Amino acid sequence: MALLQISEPGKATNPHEHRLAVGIDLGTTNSLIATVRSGEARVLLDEEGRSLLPSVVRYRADGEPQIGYPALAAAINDPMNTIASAKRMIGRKTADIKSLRDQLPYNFDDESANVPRIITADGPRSAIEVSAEILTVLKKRAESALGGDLGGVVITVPAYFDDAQRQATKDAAKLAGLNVMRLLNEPTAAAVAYGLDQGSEGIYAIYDLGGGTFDVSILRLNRGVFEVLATAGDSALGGDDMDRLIAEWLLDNINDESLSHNSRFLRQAMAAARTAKEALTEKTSTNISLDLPDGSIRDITLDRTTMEGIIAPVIDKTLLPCRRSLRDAGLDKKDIDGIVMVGGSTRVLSVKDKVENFFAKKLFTDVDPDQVVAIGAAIQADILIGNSSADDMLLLDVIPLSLGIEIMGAMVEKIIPRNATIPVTRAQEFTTYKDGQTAMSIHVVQGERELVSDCRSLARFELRGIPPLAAGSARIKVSFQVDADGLLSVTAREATTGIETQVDVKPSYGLTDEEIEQMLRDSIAFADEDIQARLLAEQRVEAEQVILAIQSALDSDGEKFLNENERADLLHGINKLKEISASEHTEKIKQAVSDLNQLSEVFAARRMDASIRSVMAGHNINEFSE
Amino acid sequence: MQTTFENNFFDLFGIDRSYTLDRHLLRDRFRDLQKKFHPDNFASASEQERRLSAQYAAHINEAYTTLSDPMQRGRYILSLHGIDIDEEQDTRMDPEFLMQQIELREELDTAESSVEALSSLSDKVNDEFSKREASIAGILDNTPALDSELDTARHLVRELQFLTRMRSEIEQAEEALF
Repeated sequence: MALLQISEPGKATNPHEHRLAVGIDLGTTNSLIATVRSGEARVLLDEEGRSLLPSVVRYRADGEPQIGYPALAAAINDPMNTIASAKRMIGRKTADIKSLRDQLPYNFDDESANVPRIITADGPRSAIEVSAEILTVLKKRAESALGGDLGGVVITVPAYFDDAQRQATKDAAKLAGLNVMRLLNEPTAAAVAYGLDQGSEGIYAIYDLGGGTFDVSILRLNRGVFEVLATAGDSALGGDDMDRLIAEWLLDNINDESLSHNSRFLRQAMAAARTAKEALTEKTSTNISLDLPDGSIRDITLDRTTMEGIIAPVIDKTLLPCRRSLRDAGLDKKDIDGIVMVGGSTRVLSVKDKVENFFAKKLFTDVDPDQVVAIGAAIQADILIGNSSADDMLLLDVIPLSLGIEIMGAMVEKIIPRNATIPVTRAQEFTTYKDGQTAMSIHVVQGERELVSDCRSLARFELRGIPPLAAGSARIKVSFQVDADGLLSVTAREATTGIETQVDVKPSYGLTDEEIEQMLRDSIAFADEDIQARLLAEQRVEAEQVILAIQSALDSDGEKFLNENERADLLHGINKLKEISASEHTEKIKQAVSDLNQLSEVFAARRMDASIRSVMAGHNINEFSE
Repeated sequence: MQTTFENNFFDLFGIDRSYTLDRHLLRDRFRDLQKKFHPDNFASASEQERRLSAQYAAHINEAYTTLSDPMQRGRYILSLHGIDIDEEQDTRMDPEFLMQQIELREELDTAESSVEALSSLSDKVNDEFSKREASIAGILDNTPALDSELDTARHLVRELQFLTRMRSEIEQAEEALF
C-alpha cells in the first residue's frame, strides 16, 4: 500500500504569530495569573510586585467594587458587603450551601429561584459575578503586563468540581470577557508544572489542599503523557475550615455567647485564626490579640500542639479521598513514586506530616505551592493557543463523579462511571413504562449514590413525540458526551421515529444564557464600551480564525483530499466570509462562519480519517520491524 | 462515508485480535493515538475538526477502556463473533457457580466489619477471576473456536460480570470501614 504523506490536522495556525495566552488559578482565598514568556512560565505581578490577588470583592453603594487587597483590608469593617470564598458557593444551589450559609455573615436573597445571591450595598450578587470581578482584574493585569489583548485563557478548577460548578466557572469567565480554551483540573496543572520541570517518570499522587477545596489525583507520567488514573476530593474542604475551627476555639476561650452573632467580630476572629495558623508553621507558639466590642483587648496564646489538635479533623478528612483514589486507580500506596504538595494549606506542618505518614513516600514541595497551579495552566494555555508544540505533552484527564439518569423508583442508572477518561461518549437505551406513552422526562444527575435524592440534579428535559406503543416497546437511546473540559451534553433519540432532543446540560439552577447576556450588558466592565461593537469585534475574530484554519488546511492537504470543484467551493466560501466580515452585520458574519464550517465538514472528515489511517498503518509497520 | 469508527478496536491499536494481550503495547498505542487526536491538538482548528477530534478521542478512550478490562474485553471479542451477552435469551448459570456465589455473599455479610476477613475474601474472588480469565483465553485465542466453545466462553464472561460486581461490593465494604 502506498503511504500518503499527510500533514497533521489541527496545526493550522500561522507559526509566526505569537498570541497572548495565560493560565489563571481562580482560588478560594487567592487568585493568580501566569504566562509563558521566552519559553518560561512565570506568574504575573501587580503594580506593587505582588503575585497573589486575594479573591475578595467589596461592593459599595456608590462607586466601583474594590477587589483584592483593598477589599480584604475592608472586610473586618464591612463584612456584609465584602464577599470572600465565592468559590465555595459557585455553581451550588441555595439548599447545597445551607450549612455554609450558617457560617457566613452575609444576607442571602432567598427570593432568587436559581442562583443564591448575596444582598450587598450594590444590589444582589451571585458567586459567578464575584468571580467575574476577580477575573477582570487579572485580565487587566495581564493585558497591561503583556501589552495586548488576550487570545485565550486556561482556567483551573478543582478536579472534584461537578458539572454545575465547572459551568458556573465558565460563565464567570464569559462575564469577564475571556475566551476560555480549556478548564484544567488543578492537580493536573500542578503535575504539568512539576513534570516538565523535572522530567519525571512514574506514578505520582497530587495532594492539593487549598483555601476551600481539596483534591487528590493519581497520575502516571510517561514520555510527556500525563494520564490521570483516578481523582477524588471534597469541593468544600480546605484551609478556611481550619481557620473556622481555630476561630471557634477562640470564641470558646472568650466564652461570651453574644460574640457568636457579631459578624464583625467573627470576621476578625477568622482573620486572626488564619494569621495564627500561618505563624505556627515557623514558631511553636503565637499570641492572638482580639478587639472586643466593649473596647477592651483580649490576648490569647495558642501553641502549635494545641492548634494541631484543633485542625486534625480537617486533615483526617482528606485521607479518605486519598484511599479512594488509590483504590480507583487499582494501586497500592507502595506503587506511588512521590507526592506533589499543592495549595497554600499544605504549608501547615501537620498536613505534611500526616500525608507523609499516610503514603510513606517522599513529598515534593519545591515549587511554591501557591504558584504551581497557575504555572501549569500557563504551560497548557501556551500549547493550546499554538505558541508551543503539543508534541511533547498530552494531558489525559478523567471525570470526577459518575453521571447517570433517573429511572423508576427514584433510582440512578449510571451511564458514565467516575474516573472515565475524557472526552467520553456513552449511550444507553431506555423504554417507556406505560402503554401509549408519548413523552418521557429525562433527569440527569451526578454522583455516586443509588438514590436520586442523594445525587446532584444537573438538568431535566423532555423528549416528546414518541410514537404511542405498548409499554416497553419504544427504544429511547440517551447519549452522554463529556468534553475535554469535563462538561456534559446529552442527546436523546427515539429509535423508531428518529425524533431527537439535544440539550447542552445547563444545570437546573445555573444562570440562563439570557441572564448572562443581561449581566454582560449591566456589568461595569463593559459600561464604557458599546456592547454591539464588542460583539462585532468578537465575531470578526472568530471569522478570522476559521478562515485561517481552513485556508492553511487547504494549502497543505487541499489537493490530496478534494477535487477541483470541492476546492473551488471552499475557496468561494472563504472569500464570501472575508467579504461579509468587512461589514458591520454581526449576525450575518455569524451565519457565514457557520456556513463555512458546514462547507468544510467533508474535508475535515477526510483529513482526520486519513490521519488515523496513517497512524494505524504506522503501527503495522512497527510490528514488522519489532 | 466510511469512517475509522468501523474499524474494530484491535485494528485501531494495531494489535493482535486475541484475549491475551500485551498491556504495555496497548498503552503505548493508546498514547500514540491520543497524542494525535486529543482535542488539545485542535484548539485552534476549524469547528468541524474540533468536533471530529472530540469524537475520535472519545472513540479511542472507549476502545482502550474496553480492551483494558478483562471482562469487557471478553464481551467485546464475543461480540465480534456475533454473540451479544446482554441480548442473549439464555440466562442459565452453572448451578455450582451460583452456589459458590451464594457462599461468597454470605461470607461478605459476616466479613463486613473485619479488614482481614474482607481481604481474604477479596483474594478468593480474585483467584476465581483469574481462573476464568485463563479459561477464556484458552478458548478465544484458539482459532477457530467451535460454537460450543464460544458458548462456554459466554458463560465464563457472564461469571466475570458477577465476580466484578462482587469485587466492587467488597471494596465498598472496605471503604465503609475507614
